[in-house]
Amino acid sequence: MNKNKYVEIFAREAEEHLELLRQGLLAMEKGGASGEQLNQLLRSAHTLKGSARMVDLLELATVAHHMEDLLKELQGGGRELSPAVIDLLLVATDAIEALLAQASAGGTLSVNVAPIVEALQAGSLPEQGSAQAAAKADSPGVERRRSVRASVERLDQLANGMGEVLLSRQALAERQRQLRGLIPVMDAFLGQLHKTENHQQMKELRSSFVRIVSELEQDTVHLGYQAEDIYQRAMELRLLPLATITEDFERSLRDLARTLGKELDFTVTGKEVELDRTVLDLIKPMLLHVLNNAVDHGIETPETRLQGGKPSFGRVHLAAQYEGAFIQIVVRDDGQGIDPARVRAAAVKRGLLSADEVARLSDEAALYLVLQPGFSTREFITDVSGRGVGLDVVKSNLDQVKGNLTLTSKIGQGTELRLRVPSSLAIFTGLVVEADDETYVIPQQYIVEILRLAPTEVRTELGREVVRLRERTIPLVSLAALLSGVSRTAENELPTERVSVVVLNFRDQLLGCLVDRALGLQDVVVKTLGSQLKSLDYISGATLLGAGTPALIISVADLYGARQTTEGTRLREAHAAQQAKARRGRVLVVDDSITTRTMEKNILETHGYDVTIAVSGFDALEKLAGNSFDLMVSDVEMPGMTGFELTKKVREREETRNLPVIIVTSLASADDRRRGMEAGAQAYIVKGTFDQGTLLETVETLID
Amino acid sequence: MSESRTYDIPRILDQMRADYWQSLETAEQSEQVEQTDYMVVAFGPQRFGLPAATCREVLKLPRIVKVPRLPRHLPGIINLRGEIVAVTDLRPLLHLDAGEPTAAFRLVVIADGAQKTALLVERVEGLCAVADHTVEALAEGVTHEAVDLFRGKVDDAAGLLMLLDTKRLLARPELVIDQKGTAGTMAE
Repeated sequence: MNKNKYVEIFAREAEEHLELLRQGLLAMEKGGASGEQLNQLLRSAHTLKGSARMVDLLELATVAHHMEDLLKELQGGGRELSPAVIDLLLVATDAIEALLAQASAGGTLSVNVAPIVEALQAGSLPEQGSAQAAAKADSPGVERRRSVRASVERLDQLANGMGEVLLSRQALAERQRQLRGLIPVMDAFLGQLHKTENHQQMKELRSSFVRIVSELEQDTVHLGYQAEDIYQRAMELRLLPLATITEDFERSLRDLARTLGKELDFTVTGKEVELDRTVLDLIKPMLLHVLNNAVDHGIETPETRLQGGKPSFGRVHLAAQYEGAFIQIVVRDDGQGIDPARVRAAAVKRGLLSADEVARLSDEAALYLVLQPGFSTREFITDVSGRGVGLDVVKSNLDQVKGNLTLTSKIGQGTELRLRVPSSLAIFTGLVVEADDETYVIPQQYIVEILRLAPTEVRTELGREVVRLRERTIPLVSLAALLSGVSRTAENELPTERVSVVVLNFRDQLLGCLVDRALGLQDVVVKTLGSQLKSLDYISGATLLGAGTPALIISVADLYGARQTTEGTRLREAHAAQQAKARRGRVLVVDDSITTRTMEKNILETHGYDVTIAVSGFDALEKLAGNSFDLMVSDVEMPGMTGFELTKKVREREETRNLPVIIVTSLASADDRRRGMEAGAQAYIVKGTFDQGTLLETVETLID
Repeated sequence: MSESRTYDIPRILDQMRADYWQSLETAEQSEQVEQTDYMVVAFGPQRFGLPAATCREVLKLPRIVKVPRLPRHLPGIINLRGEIVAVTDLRPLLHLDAGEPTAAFRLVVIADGAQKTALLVERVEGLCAVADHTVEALAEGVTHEAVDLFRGKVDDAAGLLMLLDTKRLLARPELVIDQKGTAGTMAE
């Protein structure tokens, strides 16, 4: 998820609060603290904390959090306001500013917040030194001098340019072949020359020509190697180790386990495995959801585990390793496993499938139902992994990275999820095929084998074309027919000559894809389709083949979608209905922080909701009086009226009594949750674990 | 006597200099305000002007790769130095006869910000400066749905020239294909 623009909004908001903090602290230094001044400072620190969590600036949030604690102590009289404390708070303000500057510059955070946090907890600066040094010395400039920032687009341009150089090399090679073709012509001409002098001259000319052609060939080969080398380096610039994302997981999972009262042993192997930035960005939410699920749904409480003869702490292991151009990532837990019977029951209850349909599914196939949108075996919404959102995110992001996934689970023993993703999205090996006189590329990772079949081997079963492969019946789709949108009628369009069928495997299901010809494997560079073609059915992008001619890349996930059985169609219809419903939903977002407001508004509007903003509880009540809404999303800590008070008022009023309310807040304690529920909120989302998926799914679930 | 005949040479020179600059500025201003450059392209007898500021380059017809399930006015994609660009055929949108393009056809790459397309045209006549005050509104009766694609029309020596508004053209929803819809995808 791209949070950059939110970071920008946050930066603008934070600057104001930093200024308020600084002025307030200096004013207090001169004239002592009034209750109102302290309140103002508390609000600023609190807003900084909450907003920083929203945009994933956790270090900044931590400093703000401890500032808030110290200010509360001052407010409650637990600590005296001394010049030393003011110094300390000013140093912390500087630290936040430095962190903000680094975040805006987009670099990794290198301010050491530990000494500042320690000092804030102790309520005084250790001595002249380390905390200030941490705040000041690591100013963003230091980090920037050692490395240069380049946007992915610019790296792409670099790679594009090198790709073009590689194409020019091919053109040069062709010219050499043409030159070599002239040598026999010269020989023939030489034979016709009878005058010794002419013969001798032509012979010398010929040998110079041959020498130059050979040298040119060597130069071209050399140029080609160098161009390829530079191209590889340009591509490698985009690679980052897996550790860049797993380090965040370790802390958030530990916190999550603690919140849930579980014991956790989380281990990672293969942190050094390098992946393309874009792939990392896409798999991060996937992995986070899978891991959250493992801790929330998989791992049992210590008591249950001990009763079941397991150690009290649950093990979650993430392992990554190279597999050629792919990365295999395995997430394994030793929790309670997924029960196919419960999955079936939940699928029926959610209206995803009928009782008959689930009964026909094998246990293995039933597991994959958890990947469907809107799926959950849970009744109560928590902010953790709630309504099967996590695995839905896994599915949509997996399609984007052209990855593959297998899910296995044993009741009582645990769940294992295997992801196979390409290490880079920019280049992959594909099978070049022809269909309907056009050339297409199918990513190799989905291809099991290519069959050459006699027409008689293509059969029709229940009106659908199928082929047999080693005792298995595989459904068949015709690429040309799918792409043209004309459905073949099985009888009159069965092939009459030998056909090529590309056998695909996606999420453990085989599908035969009928093509006119399979031309061979080739490394291809992925290009976007440009500003005009934002998304196409069955097509995920384009590439340039040999002579620079574009070829479209087939989206294998879409092919499977097209060949969905009846339940598949029903799932799609259900999903479409959900989206249509979403478009009708009117949501009131109440938050005093502009970062949170903007982020929530954008997320919801992107997904079709009609969003109105309120900046305080009073503003919200006014807007509720004049309009009708389907749902309210509210912050808790707001000046004037808290979200809990607002929720109570909403419940008291006749016309809004049944309005669903989601509380989004940085208050994370169980006590706060209880207060939220008592006030009448339907769901509670903590900003620390906040992401689009959770909010959206919760909104979708609550709007009928 | 001789004194009364003396000229204040520096003052006269200053005056002349001021007059000279003044005249230059007036000339420049009048040029800037009144003219816009257009790239003149044509389909058969119909001539169209594309604001030259939005035209990037003119290409001989490369291989256009067909993209399945696109409307007629989007015949496919091309490789523009490593970048994929969609081709737009204005003829269906303007209700003109649209036969197969011949090798003589050209592509005019136009862009406005991030929006870019390669316009398919039958021929390119060249650049032409149009005085803004000579631009007339389109005659009534041509008010089919394409009318807001035009800034107006002008009658020049070579005949009628319809002036296209490329910014509006590039913003037309028909020119942007989003079959999967933005809803439902996680990436922004």
